[in-house]
Amino acid sequence: MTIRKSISVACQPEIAFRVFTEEIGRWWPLKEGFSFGRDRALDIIIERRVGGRFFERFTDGTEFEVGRVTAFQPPHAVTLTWKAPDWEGLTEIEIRFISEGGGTRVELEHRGWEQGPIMEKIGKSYDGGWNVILAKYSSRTASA
Amino acid sequence: MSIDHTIAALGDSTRRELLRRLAQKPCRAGELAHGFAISRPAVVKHTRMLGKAGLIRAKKVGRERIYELAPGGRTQVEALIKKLEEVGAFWDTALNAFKRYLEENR
Repeated sequence: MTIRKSISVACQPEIAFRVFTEEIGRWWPLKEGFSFGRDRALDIIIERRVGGRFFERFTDGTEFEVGRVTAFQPPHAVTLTWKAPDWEGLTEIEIRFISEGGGTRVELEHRGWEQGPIMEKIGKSYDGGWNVILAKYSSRTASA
Repeated sequence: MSIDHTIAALGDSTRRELLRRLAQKPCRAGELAHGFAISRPAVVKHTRMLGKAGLIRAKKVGRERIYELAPGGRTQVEALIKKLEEVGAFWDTALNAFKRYLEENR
């Protein structure tokens, strides 16, 4: 089961890859709530090598490790693990940089949900068929 | 039942098809297993897994087993979809921020 996203950017893969990894602290929307530290958000860093840490640094000097770099192939791909504090399992994010015309298509896959993030269950149940829900589900996860 | 069981149960096209059939109407065991390319025991195995995940249930009517969606299963599937949608929206925002940064700084 995989979440897939892609976006096209108007620069060479070499630049896209470098900005995505090396300058992640400049573009990652930390201030818009995309931080495990919330209002303590200061910086987010990918150490650019296999085994490198992918972590956040907070304003109080503490750090939170989001995951690790499991593949680092500039300018083609980088793979990171991702563990949120409230999840039991590790998920994995692969970002590929594909040359396209004069620019780059950035493809992102967030996978590994099978390993089990535990979610709080909503405490109500419903009657009736699930047709709509399942249709929605399978279009989202046709690759499962 | 935790969401990882739900994910495991739904992560297979045969099991999703079984659920789709049962979403139309409850089925007898034989009817439910009909028309799959895989063997009937294999279909039964998938059915059992869906049962264990709390997504479907069987009741005995006379000598027959009738399968139907378990009432609580819908909640599980909805919770899962909600989570995946949240993560999808998260990546939309992050990738757009990346693109914007590139455009403003190159």
